[in-house]
Amino acid sequence: MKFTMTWLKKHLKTEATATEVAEMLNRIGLEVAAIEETGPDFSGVVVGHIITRTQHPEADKLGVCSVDVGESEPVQIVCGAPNARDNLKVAVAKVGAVLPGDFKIKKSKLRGETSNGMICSVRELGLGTEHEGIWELETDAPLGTDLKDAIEIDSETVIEIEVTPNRGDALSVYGIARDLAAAGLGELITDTSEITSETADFDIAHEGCSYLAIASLKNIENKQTPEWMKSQLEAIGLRSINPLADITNYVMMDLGQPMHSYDASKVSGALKVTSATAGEKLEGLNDETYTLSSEDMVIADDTGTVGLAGIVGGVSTSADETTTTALLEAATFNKVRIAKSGQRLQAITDSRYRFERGVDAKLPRIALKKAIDLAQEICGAEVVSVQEKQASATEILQLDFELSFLKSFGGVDMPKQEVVDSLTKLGFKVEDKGDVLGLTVPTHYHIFDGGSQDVVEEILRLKGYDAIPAILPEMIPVNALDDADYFHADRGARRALASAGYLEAINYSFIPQKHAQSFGGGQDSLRITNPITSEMSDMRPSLLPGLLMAVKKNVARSESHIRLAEVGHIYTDKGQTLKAAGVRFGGFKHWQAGSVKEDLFALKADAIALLESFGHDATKLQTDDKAPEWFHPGRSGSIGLGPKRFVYFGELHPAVAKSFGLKGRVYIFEADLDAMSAIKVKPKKFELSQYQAVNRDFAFLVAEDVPAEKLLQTLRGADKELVKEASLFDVYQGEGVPAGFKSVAMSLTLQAMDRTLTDDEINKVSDKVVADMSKRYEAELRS
Amino acid sequence: MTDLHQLKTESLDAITQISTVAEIEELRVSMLGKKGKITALMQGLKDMEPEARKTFGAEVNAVKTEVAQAIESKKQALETEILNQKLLSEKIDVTLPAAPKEVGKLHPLSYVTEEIEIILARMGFSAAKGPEIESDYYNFTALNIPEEHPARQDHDTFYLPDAEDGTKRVLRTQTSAVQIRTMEKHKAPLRVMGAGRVYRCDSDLTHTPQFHQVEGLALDVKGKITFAHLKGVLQQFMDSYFERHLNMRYRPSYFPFTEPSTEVDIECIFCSGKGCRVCKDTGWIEVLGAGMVHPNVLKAGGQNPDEVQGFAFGAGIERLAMLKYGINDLRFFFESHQSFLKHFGQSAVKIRR
Repeated sequence: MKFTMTWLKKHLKTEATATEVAEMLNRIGLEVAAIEETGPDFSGVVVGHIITRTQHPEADKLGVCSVDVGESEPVQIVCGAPNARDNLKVAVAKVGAVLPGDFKIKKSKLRGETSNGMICSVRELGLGTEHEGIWELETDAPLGTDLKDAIEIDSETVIEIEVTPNRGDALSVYGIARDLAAAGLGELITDTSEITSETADFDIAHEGCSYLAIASLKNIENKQTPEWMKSQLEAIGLRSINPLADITNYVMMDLGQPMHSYDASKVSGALKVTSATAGEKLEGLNDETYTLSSEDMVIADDTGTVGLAGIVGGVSTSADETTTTALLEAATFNKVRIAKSGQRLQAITDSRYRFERGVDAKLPRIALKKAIDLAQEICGAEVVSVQEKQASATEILQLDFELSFLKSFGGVDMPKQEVVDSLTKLGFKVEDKGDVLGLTVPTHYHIFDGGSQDVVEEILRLKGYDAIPAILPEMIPVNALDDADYFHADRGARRALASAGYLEAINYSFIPQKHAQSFGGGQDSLRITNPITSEMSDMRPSLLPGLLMAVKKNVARSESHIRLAEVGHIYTDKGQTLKAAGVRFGGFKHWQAGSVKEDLFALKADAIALLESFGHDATKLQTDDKAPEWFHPGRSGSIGLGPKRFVYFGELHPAVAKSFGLKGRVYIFEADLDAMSAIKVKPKKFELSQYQAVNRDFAFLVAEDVPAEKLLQTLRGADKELVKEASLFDVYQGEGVPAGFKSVAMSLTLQAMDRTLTDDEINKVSDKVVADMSKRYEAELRS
Repeated sequence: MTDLHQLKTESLDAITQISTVAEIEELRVSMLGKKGKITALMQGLKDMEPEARKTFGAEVNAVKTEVAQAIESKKQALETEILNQKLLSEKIDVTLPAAPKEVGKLHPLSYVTEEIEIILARMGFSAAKGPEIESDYYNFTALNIPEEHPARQDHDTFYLPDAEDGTKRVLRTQTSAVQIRTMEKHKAPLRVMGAGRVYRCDSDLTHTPQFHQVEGLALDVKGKITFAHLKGVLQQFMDSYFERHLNMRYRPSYFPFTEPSTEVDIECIFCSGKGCRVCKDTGWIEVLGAGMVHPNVLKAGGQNPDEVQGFAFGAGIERLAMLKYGINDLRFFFESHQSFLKHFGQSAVKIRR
C-alpha cells in the first residue's frame, strides 16, 4: 500500500515529517518498505546568468556563453538554443551535475570551444515537455542557488507500507491516518458524511453479500480527471483511466472501499447479486477472462453476469470515457467467499485484496457519498437516485477484557486510563466495569479471533513494545521429551563424518526425476506438483544423487579430490528417514605417498567409524556383498547386524556414474541413521589384564571366494575367553599359490585375565584355529 | 704446595687445549689415575704430620674434585659435540609439506544450528522434530491459517499429490508445524525447539527454495509465562549467539499463529546501529519473528487456552549464519562447492563456548 504525504494530510492534521511518519508506522505495526521522492530527478543544477553570448567561430547554430553561476569567475558554456542571449537568467547544469536518465555533465569541447556545463531546457530537467530552447528563469534567488530551492517544483513523498493480512483497516489513507492519530501523531480529520437513500428496487440473491448501494447518475460530462487526482493516483502507482474509474479508484485508496462504475446505458434492468452459472465466462476490466463456477458470486443484470462481485468488473458494462449515465456500486461482500473465488480464479485485484482482508461494513455508505460528490464536482453529474439494501446485519463483536491480563499475559503494567484512551482512539467503545473493560470492537477490524490477546496487541502496539521488560523465565523441569536421539543421530553423525575427513554438504531435498528413478524413487506420490524447475521435481529417495551432482560440479571447477558427505532426510511413501551418505572420488599427489587414489577400503573405514560413533562394535558387525543396483555388483556390500543392514558401501555402478557425467571409480556409502540409533548397544565391559599377551601368526591357503571376514570370525571365535584380538595382515595370490586360491595371513593375540598362558594352552587354541579353518573353509595351514 | 697449585693450573690449562675424548682420558689418567700426579700427592699424605696432613689433605682434595669435575664436563661437552656432528649428517628438509591428512568440516549451517540449539538448551528447550512432507492441516490449518486466509498466498507453498486418504500434502513452509505435533504429545509446562529444513517456491538472489528455520515454543500455566519472558529469552538468544550485548527492537507485526506478534530486529552488528550498507542505513537488522501463541493454535494442539499460555518464535538460520560468519551469498549454502565448504565450514572438534 502506497500513499503520499499530501494525501495523508487530507486525513491527518500533523506537522510530522515523512521520516517521523515512517518511524511511527514501523512502531505501530505498519512496516515501511520504502520512502520515495517523486519529482525532479536531477542534481547539481543552479541558477545562472548569461552575461554575454557570442557566435561560435566554427558553428552557425552554436553560441559561446559566458555564464555567471555565482562563483568568482564566469564559466564558458557552449549552447545551441535559439533563445540563448545576453543578460538572461537560466538553469545551469554545472560540471558534475546529473540530469534525469543518469546523464552526467562533463567538461567537453564543442568544435574547439570548451564547454563547462550545460544550459538546460525544461524538458532536459524532466519538469515538463517544453523544449523550444532553454528555460528562461524568473527568480530572484541569488546566482548559484540550487535550482530545487530557487523555484517551486512539485515533488511528493511517497511512503510504501507492507500491510500484514490482519490489517485490512490500514489499506486506505484514511485507515493509516486513523492509526497514526491513535498513536498520537496528529489529529484525525473525520470524514463520515453518508448517503441518503431510497428503497432499493434491486435484489441481493446471495448470502455472500450483506449490503449493496447503487447510485444512479446522469448528465455526465466526461471531462478530464483533474490534475491533482491524476498526480496522486500516479504517485501511488495507479494509471489514470477515465474520470469515473479514477474516482472509484481514488475513493478505494482514500477510504478503503472497493467500488465499481457501470455505464447505465449498457445495463439492462436492475443489477442484482447472485451466483454465477457454472462454466460461464466473464471478460474482466483487467483484460483477463474468467471461467466461473457456481461458487462464484457475481453482479448480474437482466442479460446475465456483468461483474465478478468484489473482484473485478466486466468489460461489457463498465463506464468509460463516453459514459453519460452511470451506476456507482458500493457493497459489503463476505471475505471468505471473495478469498476463495479469488484463489480459484487466480484473480489478483486491488478489490479482492481489500475484500479478503475485510472491508469495514460502515464504509459503503460513506464511500458512495464521497464518490457521488466527486462525480458531481468533476463530471458535473446529476444524481438520479441512490438506493441501498441491507440483506443481513453487520456482526458486532463485544468482549470483556480483564485489565490484569495486560500484566499476566503482556508482561507490562499500564494505568487504566491509558488503556481506555488507547482503545477509544482506535475506535473501540469502552465501558468501564471496574477491573474489567466491556469492549465493542470497531467494524474496521476483521481478524480479531484472539479475544483478549488481540486487545493486548492493540494496546501494546500503540504503547510500543519497548515498554515491555525483558525477563528470563524460571527454569522448569525438563519435560519428558527425549532429544538425546536427535542430538546423537543427527548432530553426532555430522561430527563423525567431518572427523573422518568429509566436507559436509547440504544439497536440495528435490532432485531431477531421472536421478530419483535411478535410486529407487521417482514415484508420482513424491513428485512436487509445482516445482521451481524440472531439475528440482522429485523428493530424493537417497542422499547420493545430490552428492553425485555436487561431485560433478566440483570436478567442473577443477577439484581433483572430492570428499563430500551429507546428513539429512530421504523421502519414501512411508515418510522420511534420516540418512548419512558420503562420496570419495579422485585423489591427490604427495611427495611421500606419491599418487594417492581414493579406494573402497578408505571409504569402508569411514562407514565403520560412523557405526562406532553410534556405539556399535565393529567386530560384531557383519559385512556381506549385497547392495542396491546403483552399486558396482562386484565391488559393493553392506554392513549390519543379521537381517538389519545399516550401511551400503562400495563403488558406484559405472553406468550410473556415466549418467551423472562422471568418469572413473566413485566410492559411495549411505547409512540409515534411524536404524542405527534404533538398536541400543550395551557398552562393553572394560578389563585390563596384568599378564603377558601372546601373538601367533597363521597363513592359510584357501579358495579365493571365501570372504575374509569369515576367516577372521573363525579366528576370533577360536576361544571366547582368551582371544583378545584377531587381525588380517596379508592377502596374496600369485607365484606359489595355486590358481583359484589365495594365501591369507592373520594374527591372533591371546591373553588371560588371571594367569600367564602356558604353551599347552596356546597350542590348544592354535590347533583349534587350524582345525576350524580346515573344517569350515577347507583352509590349509601354510608352513 | 707449589706442586699442588702447579698441578691444578697445569690440568685446567691442558683441558682447554684438548679436543678429543682420548686426550681427555689421557689427562685423567695422568692426573687422577692410579699413578696420577694428584693421586701421588694424596698418597704422600700418609707420611705427613697429623696437623699438616689435615690442612694439606683438604687442599689436595679440593683440587682433585675441581680437576675431576673439569675433566668430566669437558668429556661430556666433547661427547655431545660428537653426537651432534653425527646427527647433523641425518639432516632432512623440515620445510617439506606435512603428511596428507584430511580435515573435514561441518557445514556452516550445521554448526550454526548446533550453536543455536546449545544456547536454547541452556534455557531449558528440548529438541523436537517433525516431517518435512507435511499435511496441509499441520502446516496451515492448525496454525490458525484456514484455507481462505490471505497469509496462505504469502507462503509460496510447494504441493505434493494428495495422500491416499485425501490428505492435502505440502512441503512444510515453516517449522511451526512442530509446535502442534509437540503440544499434541505433551502438556504444559514445556519448552521445545525445532530446527530444520523448510521450503518455499521462490528462487532469486535472496531466496532459495529450501532453507532452514529454528522454532521455539514455551508454554506454562496462565500468568507464568508472558511477553516479557519472550523478550528475555530472545535477548539472551541474540546476545549469546553474537557473543555481545545487542540492542533489540520489537515491531508489532502479524503472524496468524501468534497474537500479539512481533518482528524482532537487532542493532546492526556491522555498524553497531549507526547505519551502514548492510542495514540499509536503518541501524537495524531483522532476525526473528515471534509472539504469544494464539488461542486457536493452543486449541489445535489440545491445550486449554483458558489455562495455558506461552510464546513462540522463529528465525531463519541462513540469515543468522550469514550475519555472524560474513557469508554474503545465500545460494552458496546449497551449491556444495568444496572451496566454500572448506572456507566457511567449521572444525568437527570445535565446540561453542
